[in-house]
Amino acid sequence: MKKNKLQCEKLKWSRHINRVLITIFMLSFTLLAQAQMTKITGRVTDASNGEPIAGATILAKGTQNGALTDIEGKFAISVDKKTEILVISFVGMQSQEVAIKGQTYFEVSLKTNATDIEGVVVTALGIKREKKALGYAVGEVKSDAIVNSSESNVVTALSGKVAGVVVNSTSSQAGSGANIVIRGNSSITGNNRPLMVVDGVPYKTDQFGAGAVGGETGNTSLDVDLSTVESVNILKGAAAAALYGADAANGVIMITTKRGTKNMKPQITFSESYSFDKVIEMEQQKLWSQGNYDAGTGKYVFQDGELHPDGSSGFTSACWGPRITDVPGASYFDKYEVFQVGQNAETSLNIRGGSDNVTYFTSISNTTQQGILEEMKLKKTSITSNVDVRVNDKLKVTTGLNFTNFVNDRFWEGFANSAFMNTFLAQPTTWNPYPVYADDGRLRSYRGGSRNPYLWLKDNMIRSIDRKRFTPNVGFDYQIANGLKLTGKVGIDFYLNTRTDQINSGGYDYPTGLYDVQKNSNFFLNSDVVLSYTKKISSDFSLDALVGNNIQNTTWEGSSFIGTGFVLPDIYNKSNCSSVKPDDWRGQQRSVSMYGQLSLSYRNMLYFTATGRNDWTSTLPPDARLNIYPSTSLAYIFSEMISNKNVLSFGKVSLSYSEVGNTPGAYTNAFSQVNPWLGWSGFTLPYNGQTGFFPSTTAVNPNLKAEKSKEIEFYLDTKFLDNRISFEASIYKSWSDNQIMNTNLESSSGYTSASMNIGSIENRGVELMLSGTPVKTKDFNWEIAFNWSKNKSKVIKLGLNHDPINTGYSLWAVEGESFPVIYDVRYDRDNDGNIIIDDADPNSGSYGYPLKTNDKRVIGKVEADWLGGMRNTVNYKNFTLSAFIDMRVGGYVDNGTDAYLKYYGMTKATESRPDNNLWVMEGVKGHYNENGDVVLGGKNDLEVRYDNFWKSYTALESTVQKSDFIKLREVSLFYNFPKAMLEHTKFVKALSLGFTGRNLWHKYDKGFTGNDPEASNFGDNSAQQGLTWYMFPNTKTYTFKLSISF
Amino acid sequence: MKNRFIKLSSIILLVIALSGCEKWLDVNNSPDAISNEKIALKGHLPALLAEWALMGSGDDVNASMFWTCQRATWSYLPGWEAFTINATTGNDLWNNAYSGTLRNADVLYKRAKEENNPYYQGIAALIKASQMACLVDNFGKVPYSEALRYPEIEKPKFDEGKDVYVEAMKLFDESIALLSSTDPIAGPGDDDYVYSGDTEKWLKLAYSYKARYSMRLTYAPGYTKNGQAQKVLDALANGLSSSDDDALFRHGSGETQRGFFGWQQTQDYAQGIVANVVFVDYMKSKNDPRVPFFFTTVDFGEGSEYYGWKSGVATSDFPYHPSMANNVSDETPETFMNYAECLFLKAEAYVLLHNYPAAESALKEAITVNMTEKGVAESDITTYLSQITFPQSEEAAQQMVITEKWVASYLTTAEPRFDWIRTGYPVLDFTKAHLELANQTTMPRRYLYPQDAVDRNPNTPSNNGIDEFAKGGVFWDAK
Repeated sequence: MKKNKLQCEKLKWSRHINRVLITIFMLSFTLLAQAQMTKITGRVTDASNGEPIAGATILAKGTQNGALTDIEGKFAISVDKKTEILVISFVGMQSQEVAIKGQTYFEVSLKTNATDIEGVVVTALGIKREKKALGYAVGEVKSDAIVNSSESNVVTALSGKVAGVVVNSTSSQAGSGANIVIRGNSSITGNNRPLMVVDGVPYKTDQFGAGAVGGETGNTSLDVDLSTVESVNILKGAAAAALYGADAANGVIMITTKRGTKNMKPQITFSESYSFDKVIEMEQQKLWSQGNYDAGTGKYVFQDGELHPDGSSGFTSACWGPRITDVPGASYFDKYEVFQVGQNAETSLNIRGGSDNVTYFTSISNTTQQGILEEMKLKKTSITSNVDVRVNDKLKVTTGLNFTNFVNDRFWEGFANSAFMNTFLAQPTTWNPYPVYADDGRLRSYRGGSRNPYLWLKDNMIRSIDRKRFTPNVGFDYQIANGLKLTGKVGIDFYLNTRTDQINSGGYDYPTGLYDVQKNSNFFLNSDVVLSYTKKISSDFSLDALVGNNIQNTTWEGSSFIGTGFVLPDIYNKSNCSSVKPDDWRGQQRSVSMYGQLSLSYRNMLYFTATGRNDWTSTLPPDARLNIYPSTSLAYIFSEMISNKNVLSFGKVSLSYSEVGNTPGAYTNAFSQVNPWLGWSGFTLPYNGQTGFFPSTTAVNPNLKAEKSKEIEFYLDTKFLDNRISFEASIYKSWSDNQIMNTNLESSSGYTSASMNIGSIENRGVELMLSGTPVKTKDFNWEIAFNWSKNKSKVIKLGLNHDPINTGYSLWAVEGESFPVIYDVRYDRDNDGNIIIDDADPNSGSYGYPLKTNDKRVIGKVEADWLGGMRNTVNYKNFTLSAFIDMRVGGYVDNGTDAYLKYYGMTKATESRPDNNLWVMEGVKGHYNENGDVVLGGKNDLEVRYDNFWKSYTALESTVQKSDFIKLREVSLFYNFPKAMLEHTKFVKALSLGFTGRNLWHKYDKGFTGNDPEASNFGDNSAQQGLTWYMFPNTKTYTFKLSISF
Repeated sequence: MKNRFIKLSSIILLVIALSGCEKWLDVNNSPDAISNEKIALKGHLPALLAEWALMGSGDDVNASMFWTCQRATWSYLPGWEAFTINATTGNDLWNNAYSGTLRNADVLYKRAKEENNPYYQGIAALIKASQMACLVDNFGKVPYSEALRYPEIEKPKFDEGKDVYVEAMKLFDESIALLSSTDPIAGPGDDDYVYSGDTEKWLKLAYSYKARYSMRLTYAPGYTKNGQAQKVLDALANGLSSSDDDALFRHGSGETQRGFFGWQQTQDYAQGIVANVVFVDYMKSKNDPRVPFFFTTVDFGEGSEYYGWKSGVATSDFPYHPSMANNVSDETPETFMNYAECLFLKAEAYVLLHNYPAAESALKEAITVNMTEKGVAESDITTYLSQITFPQSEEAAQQMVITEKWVASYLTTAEPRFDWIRTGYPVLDFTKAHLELANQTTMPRRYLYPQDAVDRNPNTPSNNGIDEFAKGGVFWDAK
């Protein structure tokens, strides 16, 4: 056993030694291995400006071993011998791979990734898509551009910023709407307004009355709080908007409001701005005094507009008196003294942040504005709250709430005798409107009555608008399975609007007073549910599909009463009116739709998208309710085929075709029994306690269908020189051939009119956008962006008889012409274009004055030939200077103000009148013989009275003026305090101070004498753009703004 | 199997959803509009009567008074008043008749037939027939067989006037038959502005209308003077029998209740509508006692007089405002037909049948009725009548009857215009009545086809080559 003991011991020892050897081996292995883990450090910067990139990822290729760069772009990573390559990446940049090859320190410079820089845009129904995958043009406007414009109307803030979008700010009074048309008017008698959508819910942009007599009442689009806007995407063409079906015919303005960010400490932003508005005087004649021409003595005679003690009066509305300098004691009265500097204070406070599961953005803002007249006021208060909750990793719930209170006091604009600018502009040069009342208590008027003096209107007339609006929405996002998602959103748009017009008794117009109140309420519900599916079919192909359902329900109600016959002055109340005419109305409209989108992509290079939408609407007859709106588009990123991306960093072409629609308003094609029309006499039923009805003579058309527009769009999107230069172009043609028109029928058929699908209109155009950064250094940056567009509209067919259609006053739709055109009787001209001057009968009143045509002819089109805008932005260290210029050429307006004022000799054009009131008109003599042929008589030499031409013998074309303009819309200078300076304060995260000047300079056509070629009395009715009467002058605005974030 | 089940159930669900949809979308009738397809019969008649009175007949009377030299324009040059018409002149009459009175009479006719109410149906037939005849009288050829049938027929063809008249006469007969009914069903009541529901008076009116339009055909080809005259007498035997039977549309005062004549007075040009010198001088020459009732006096400063005017004469020639129509106010009614007209028709019928004593008796009765209505004293009536020597030859007697009818019809109906076109009486010197005459010897004998019809209906005969002054434009203009 002694031998065994030794063997045992040997064994024990060898085991022990084994263990030691293994340990030593392992230790050395580890040491060896340790010696094999190399520490690599380095720094990652942005190739374009050398700035360090924080949060970039460094990955040992093929492993999970990674690190991140710190705030200075520095990183440290330990890699083993096996790791040969490091992959450095950052979002939006091109990843780089570096071979380690024994190096331990790397300076990596990352280039921006051109395709990803396009980013993601919000498309129809709130669906986010990569911009590169889109087969159509989308116009984007970012929050800064909107907020820094210092506009208070989201629509006017878009002016000139997107090619193809024409915005006209209609009136300079605070609270006025704006007219926006995208790619031309596509409906002759119907709606041309684009759809506005806020956070995926359609947003009503209603207007309650507008017109030539009293002007507009603003627009509910004014309820949008600009300080909450994150971005605005404009879906210009049919392809972009096809998913909206019937509502998309005029394009879509998609507004996205700000939301909170995950895991972000609460950030509070406070901003305050003050604006000052200064009136820009309008051009009128200032040389000739109040009075008339006396044919007996052959002289201009001065009249003083007063009632004289002997009972005679110098009342006249005319300014055909002698030169002011020739009348002793007379002088030009500067009526612009009545205007003050308007002021506007806007305050907004918002808080934004989020935890892992809940993100929020809450804001409250207030605008208090006093206009250029003390009584013009605007007060808007808006509360917004967007809270999103991630319930679990499958379900997310979003909520949005907005409440806006809007109060606006304004004056009538138009040719009503109680419109402020009516007496203001028509007031003769030498007449002093003070005192307002004469010693005997009479209200002084230069013509003895009729129009209410503007000083009196200031204190005795106002139009007040009071609106409360509430737009809540709730949505959800549920991930059913991998690639399969269900989303939904329900939104409500509810408003109550009261519009009150008050005129005190005791004036010349409405002498017994006016108290006109109209209340409108509107409740709109919208619901969308979408099922979407994404799948990578193969390594090359990817599929994106969705189907959705939309339900809409609108109900509205209104009531009004018009009270006149005030018993006592200054009391605006029904009980003070001896005559009250009440009215009330209600209505409802509904629709249900199904839609779908299919998108196929090939190797991130070729994208094919098809959409379809079925609408069933209540406003069409049952057989025509179903309408299908398809669209297809194909996008090809051709730059992917090019390996050298130094010159062309991104290039895409796309082609799309789509059909969108436009449905008639509620009740336009419905049967009703009515009191028949009984002529001009005023006789009405009920009479003697009886009344009677017959079916309306507007026939119901059982075959009425929705208007359908078709559009083809070609789009090119290119970026050059590492995205320093970007160029986009679109060419499109859209046409519709079943416009709904109220067509006149021949009476012997038993009806006088019916709505028919019988008109067609076509639009074609080009949009170009070019932007670039010519200078880009660490401290100094200069960006320039141009946009240019041209839209040509043409009316192809009108009705059964091709009769031109009057869309209001002098604006008509005429076959073969642009839409709309100014259409009226014109001066008769010979073949060389010379005006023919009547030489038929020396005893006739028109002898020596121009002959006129018997029928109406086209005078000019309203649509511009082209428009363009240019924005320059210069950044120097922390200063940002930016200027925006807007230009429009070709297009005319009917200056209705001058058409009235010319009669009185108050227009600028009459300033150069002859001292003896006699002149010879430019033209050739002529007249028509019995056969209807014109007989010309040589150059005109007939001397006639100058004033009579303007009073009785002008044609409308003498006051139709060109609407060309160049406007310096915005100039702004902002200073963002540097972070370094702010770190000292510990809690201030950002601070900026800025100044914006609006409308500082403009140049109009020298023949234009109105206040603004964009102005219109009709608010957002684009078929009546280009008509103005007696509007308030434009203003220059200076805004100072402070914005601070905590 | 499961797939098929899913597919099937989703299709079923979709179908259910869609059909539920239809109901939910049926909201296109405005709650503020009356969308009842059918309303009670009495909910139609007031509107129809108002239309019949105001639309198309007001201007007709006005045109008749200017063209038969009873009215003149004072402060402005005459245009259509002196016969200058164009294709737009007839637009209003055409549109108001077709899409208003005629169409609505047709609607009431069909509704009444559905409800088996012969009284409403009879009244509707009468109004419809009178409108059809009125349209032919003004335009010659008019749509009838294809009219009022939208949407089946959008552009009706035009029918010959003589054929439309035949249909109108049939409708008058039908109206008479219906109104003769003894059906106990309730007829109109307070909804009848003209006769307050007295269907016996409507029946008389139907007979009288038949008489009026039968008289139109006296010279028309295919008819005989004597035959028509007898038809007139036969109809009048059952026609209006006293002034209580006058068919008038009475008015109230104020903007919403006044009649055509009242409304005319509120217009800018109201002061420019004056009595014509031809009419005033004629009545003065006959010592007509109605002169003070018809005309206002002109105050010369030293005395006053009745002074008529010639349209278009410069106002500087005479410093005073000429006579205007007297006793015209908001309440002045429109006249569909009155008893006096029936008596004049009777007188003319007897003349054509050469029964001069009966004619004279009817004529004198007619004048008496008219003068009494105006308020002339009985003795003055007797004086006026005593100076009448009734001619014993057809032409002269017809001339006398029509001329007296012309005077009596002042401010009532448009019959004088059609009587002049049909008979050539009264004899009028237009050159004395108006300056700027478009034609010296005749008033327009018809309207041109209205511009609206020319523009919208290719079946409208062309106005090129149509002479509104040529005889025979309307088929019964054939004396």
